[in-house]
Amino acid sequence: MNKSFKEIAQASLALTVTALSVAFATPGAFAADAGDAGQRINGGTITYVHEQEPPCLWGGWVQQAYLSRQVFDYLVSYDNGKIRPWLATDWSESPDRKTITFHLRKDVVFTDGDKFNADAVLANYPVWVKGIGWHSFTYMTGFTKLDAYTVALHLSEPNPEIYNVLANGHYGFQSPDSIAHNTPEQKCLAPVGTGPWKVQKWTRGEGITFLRNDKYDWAPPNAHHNGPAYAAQLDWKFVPDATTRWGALLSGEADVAYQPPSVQWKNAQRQFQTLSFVATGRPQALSFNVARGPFTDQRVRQAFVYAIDRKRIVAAVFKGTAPYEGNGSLSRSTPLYLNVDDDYPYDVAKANTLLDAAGWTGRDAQGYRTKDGKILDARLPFNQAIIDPEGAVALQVIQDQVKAVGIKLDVIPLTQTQGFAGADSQPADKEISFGYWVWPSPNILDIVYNDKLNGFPNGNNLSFFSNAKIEAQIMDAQREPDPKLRFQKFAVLQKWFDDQAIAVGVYDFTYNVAISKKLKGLWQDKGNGLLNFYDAYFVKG
Amino acid sequence: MTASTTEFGRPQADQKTVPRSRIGVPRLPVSIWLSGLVVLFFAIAAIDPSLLSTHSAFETDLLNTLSPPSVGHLLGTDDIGRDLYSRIVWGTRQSLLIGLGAMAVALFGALVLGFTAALGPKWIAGPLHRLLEILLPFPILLLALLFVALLGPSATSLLISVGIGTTAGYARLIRAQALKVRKSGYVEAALALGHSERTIFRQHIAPNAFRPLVALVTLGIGQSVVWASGLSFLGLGVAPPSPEWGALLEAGKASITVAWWLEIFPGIAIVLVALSFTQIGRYVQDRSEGNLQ
Repeated sequence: MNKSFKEIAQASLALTVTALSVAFATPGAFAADAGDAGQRINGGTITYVHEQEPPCLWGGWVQQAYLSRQVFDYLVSYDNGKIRPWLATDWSESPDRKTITFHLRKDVVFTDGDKFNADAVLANYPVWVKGIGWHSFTYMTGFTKLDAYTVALHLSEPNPEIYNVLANGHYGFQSPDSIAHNTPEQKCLAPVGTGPWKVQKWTRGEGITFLRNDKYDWAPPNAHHNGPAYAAQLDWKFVPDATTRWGALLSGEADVAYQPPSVQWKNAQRQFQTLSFVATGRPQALSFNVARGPFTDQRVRQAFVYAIDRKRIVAAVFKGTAPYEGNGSLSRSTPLYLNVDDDYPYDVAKANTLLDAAGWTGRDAQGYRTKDGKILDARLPFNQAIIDPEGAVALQVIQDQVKAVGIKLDVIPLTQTQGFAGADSQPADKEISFGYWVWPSPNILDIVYNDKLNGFPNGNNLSFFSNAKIEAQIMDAQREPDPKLRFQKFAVLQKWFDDQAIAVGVYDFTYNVAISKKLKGLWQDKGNGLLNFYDAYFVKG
Repeated sequence: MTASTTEFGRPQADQKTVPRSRIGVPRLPVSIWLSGLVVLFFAIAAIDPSLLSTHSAFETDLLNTLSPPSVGHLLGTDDIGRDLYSRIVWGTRQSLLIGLGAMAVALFGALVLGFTAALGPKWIAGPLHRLLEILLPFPILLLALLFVALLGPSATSLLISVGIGTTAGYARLIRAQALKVRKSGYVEAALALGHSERTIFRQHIAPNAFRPLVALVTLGIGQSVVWASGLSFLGLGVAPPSPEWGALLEAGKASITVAWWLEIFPGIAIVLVALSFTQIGRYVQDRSEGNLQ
């Protein structure tokens, strides 16, 4: 009996060991998320419904980074404030901090069979320069090849956040063969990367079908598993209407829905899993035209801000889906952010006093202020691809509140095509702009306040601000090697722009998704909020 | 009551007047009275909304968002605390103007095209008739997309696209009526008496061909309001914060599960206007055809 018991025990142990060995040998056998419940199903199609459809899969807009992240891999990965290796195994900086040497992985292959190596990095650099309009604000000047798997990245300025930038979804790698031989349309709609997914088909106005890259075996260490993605297919649908996206999730037609209507957010948190990420960079901010018109007067700008109850507007319109943000230059998730939330509290009396002092003392028949026969009128065109319908509702409240102090605000919606074609973008076209800029570094100040970009007027400078002294201060802060001093210098600048009311924040651009309970493991990158479907999997039941 | 005819078969306006009660009030069906009251209410709202509204259409109240109907806010408030009843009242002018404007565009086009297709020389009448047949099934939605692309989303785009989209139907009707009248005995008699073509057109053909359109135009106003609201709902029309009814429906749809009033009441306003004009139009049609006893 003892013998048979021993035999049974040995057999059980052997079976257990075998089972565990099989389990651990299977790619992706580890739990994707701590606390995830349910038995994983390998395969299946994840359906994600998103709002904006960008013109190409890759480019300088964050909406393109959301897509690129599925197809491309990056030199490094941003993991909650830490930089982790990815296609680069390690790196080192020169003493002047302007050269970074990256050692590359040797086992990475593009989905068309091309090899990833130093030549591939060099082949991609001109593509970045040409395809990313704001590239010069990264201060990258180029790569040099040190050997087959080592490259040196050169910078014109020290940039401690260059790693965040390299990880942020825009600086992925395309196969050199595809760069050399594919048509512009192929490179736009179906670029070839090394990532966990490859584009099967993009049907304009409908969506993109991604198929799993079965050879994928170089996930970053902050991914939840290595090897191919769990799901076999990812259907990325473009559904501009938030209610329709929410309906698709409710009906089970979609597994993940982008930006559910704010009014449904509490329901989403009850019925589904949710993820939220406050984007780095600049929040949804009001930028005043300081080059011409009534807002060249600081008192008028400040009066406008005192006249609007920003905290209450954000709470009422967004219902917890996006936080109020007082800082018009940096969002709260951006490195070296300064909180100025309590500046410019809602104060109609102060707004009226400032406008009186600025000489806007007359009133027309409708109650709008006048000066020298001119109405205090402000045009605010906004791109509907940048400001969603809820943001447009917030603008309607602002329009109503500034009317109370005699400011006439014309809110002008522009289509995505009009907006990106440059409609109403010149100083003579508008008095106020409204929009965000996703960027993982405090040198966003350089992007949004520098009056020049590659020698031409900088289209990202929505306030048409131009001040050589302040620009020099921004670059001085950027170059500062001491982290404490650097923070102080950037804080002084943020406070200055806030005091001047050149731009003031309203709410942070927040990437919210609601996820079906049958899908687990989905996570957001902590740089841009990019969704990583690679780790997502369905569970039984 | 039947339609009467004179010599040469020319239709004559019904000599019988609408029956009246002892106190002189016309004896009309209840549905026509109700429809008239609805049209009157919205006509006042369109002419001077301040007479009927209780609040401003644009004034926000962030402490009172998504409030259900109450004494303070008869039809509740929207997501930024605007009074829905007042927004519907203030939105009437734009909604009705789009309906009436679209009908005016349709009617103008229909008169020119219809009479030309009926009475014009063959080389122009034939191709024009074919063109009307091609235009008839052309979807208004596609036209709306075209005009929105050209002019941007606005009341003008709506007015033009709905007007042009409904022109072909009316033009065909005018053409048929004009052809019918031209062959009638009284027109032949007028020709025999030596009246000029211009006189015959002005005195006989145009009035008699146009008469059946009066009822259809009344029906069409309601339909145009529905079309315009539908296009605004799809984002092809008037943009927020305009209280145009379709825009109100569009703005409220995200909140339908938590604030039903944002969809129901603007919807009721559209249905009431469409039904009222339809009822009145049908009544006018029945009277002109002599179907009412």
